[in-house]
Amino acid sequence: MLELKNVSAYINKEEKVLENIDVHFSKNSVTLILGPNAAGKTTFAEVLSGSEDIKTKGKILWNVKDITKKKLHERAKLGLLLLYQNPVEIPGVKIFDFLYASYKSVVKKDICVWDFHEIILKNLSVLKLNEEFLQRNINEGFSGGEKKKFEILQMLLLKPKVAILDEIDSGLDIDSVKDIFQIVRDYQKKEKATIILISHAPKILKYISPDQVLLIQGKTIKEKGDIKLAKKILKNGYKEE
Amino acid sequence: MATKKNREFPKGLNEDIVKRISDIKKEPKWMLDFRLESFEKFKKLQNPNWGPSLKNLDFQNIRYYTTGAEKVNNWDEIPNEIKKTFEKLGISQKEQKLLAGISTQYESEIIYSQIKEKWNSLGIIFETTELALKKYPELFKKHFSQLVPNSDNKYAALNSAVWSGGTFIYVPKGLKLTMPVQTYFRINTQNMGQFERTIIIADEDSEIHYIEGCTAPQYMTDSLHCAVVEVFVKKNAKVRYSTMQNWSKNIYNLVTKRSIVEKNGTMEWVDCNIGSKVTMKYPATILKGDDSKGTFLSLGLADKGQIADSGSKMIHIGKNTKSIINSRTVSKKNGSSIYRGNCRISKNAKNSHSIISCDGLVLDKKAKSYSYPTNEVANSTSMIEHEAKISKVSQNQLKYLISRGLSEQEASHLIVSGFVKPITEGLPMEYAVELDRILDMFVEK
Repeated sequence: MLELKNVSAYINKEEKVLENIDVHFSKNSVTLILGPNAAGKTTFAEVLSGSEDIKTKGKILWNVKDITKKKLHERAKLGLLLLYQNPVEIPGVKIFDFLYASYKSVVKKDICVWDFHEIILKNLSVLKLNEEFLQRNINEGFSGGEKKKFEILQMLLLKPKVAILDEIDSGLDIDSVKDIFQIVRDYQKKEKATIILISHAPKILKYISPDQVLLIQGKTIKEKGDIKLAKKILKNGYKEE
Repeated sequence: MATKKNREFPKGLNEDIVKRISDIKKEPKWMLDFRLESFEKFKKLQNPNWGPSLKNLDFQNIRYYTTGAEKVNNWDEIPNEIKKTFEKLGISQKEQKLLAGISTQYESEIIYSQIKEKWNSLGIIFETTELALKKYPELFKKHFSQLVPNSDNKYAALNSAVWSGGTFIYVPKGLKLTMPVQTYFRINTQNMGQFERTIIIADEDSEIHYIEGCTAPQYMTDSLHCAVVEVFVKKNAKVRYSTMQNWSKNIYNLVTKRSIVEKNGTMEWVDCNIGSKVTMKYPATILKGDDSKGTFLSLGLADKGQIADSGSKMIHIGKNTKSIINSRTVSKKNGSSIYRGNCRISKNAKNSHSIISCDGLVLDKKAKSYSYPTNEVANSTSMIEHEAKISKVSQNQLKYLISRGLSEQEASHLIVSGFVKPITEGLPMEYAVELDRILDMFVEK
């Protein structure tokens, strides 16, 4: 589905933040990316999303097709969605207007506003959000939990083939974490989606069982494995070198 | 297409010019005297010593009276930028020529005359200001220049000396007009002029929504638009005055607007300034009667080379008076947006309340946004709340929207239209739709 071949990433042209990344994310799979704080996990997510803040070398393939040159909004249209750890507030922009514009751009260009309204209501109920939520401005005055729910709402709505969830459990209470992972699991199964979970805390194994586990440390993928690797990290912690 | 058959009115300004204007209009002597007196005042008054510079305005290079066909004679003379905008707005060829000042006739003239017939039977007066002077001399004299004296400022004096066209409206007691009254209906050179004079009188318990201008750019070869507007809101009456100004970018737009509100009356200004090189406009509301209310909502866009200096004056005189000022400006490139406002609650205006917010949005590093408010409260039972904020569209905000499949332009458009929504949501549908397209062009890099 999504493959990185010898990818390195730079910020400010000079500073290397990731190097020699080789990895494959297959269709209908869950990958867990673990690593200590400041190891380059969020940068990795940004590289996948196509952020223009980061320059990359190497190749990124989408179903064998080279998308290295594709920009942020083009990758979104392909079906790649990054759910941010700390999404930005945008005062004055109503959630409804934003989601409608985004849906038209990514999913269905000619959808009428009434049909869209129905679709969004269904997704709101999955997240136990009420309709008034749509009249709020993007992330403005949101609690930590509301921000995460809003990111998940976008996943349900835009139906990405590859969803990258950056620290989706941070700032949530235990019940909400359970609920959110239930929704993510259901989504993954139903859409046969590729899910990439990024976390610094291996305890999320409680909520989801990954097919692939990556350890990012020292600006690269230090170890690749399956659930056993995650369990090992859970037991021993990250050993800095 | 119009031909160049008209007698050319000479450029420049002197006493003789003022007399000729009055002569062409066959005015009564008092109006000629008023014009001449105004001209003397104009010569003595100085440009304001604050705000944008007006020193490049050459009064001798302007034609102070025009008949439509003199303006522009050929489609080829219209700047490409304006033609492009017409196309993007989806304006018909016929209308394009009209807005460009080439054509003087408009199909809706017929619709307008039918509406006018109906209004006449209800006692509504809706005339060009010249015609109102002839047909309703007493009503005219009772209101003309009563709110904006010719000594008010240099440009009010200039308008008083050379005014042409504009609209005169009288709404009789108790009559509530549900449909907005639009100058757009009868667009012609007479009320799209440079020196128009507009008077609106809403008698007791009446209601009217008046809309002037249009969102499409209006081209004018001369560089000055200098209007005076006077609005009289009688007891329990309500007037909403909406303006869409999109003059071409060579124009100095210097307008004096004022209203007086009697007991329990309501005055609402919605003022959108999109075009022109320099705008200086501060619509004033005098809340004279007890329980009267004033609202001022404004939107200003300042693109490359533009200065939009605008705001409002709210003068509270009556008791329990309320006012709201909400100004939103957006600047890009080296455009400057300035909010300049004044709210005064006088000693006798007990229990009065004013809420002022002026927010500026800048789209890039070079864009400028300023705020110069003056607020005074002269009694202890009244209150003014003031809030001012200048924000910048951040790269992170754009990035977030773009990561959801929007192009950079779509993302900027979404942010800007959200920002101005509190102002634009009060506009009639067709204006709001067209304004949205203008915003889309505005955010284009």
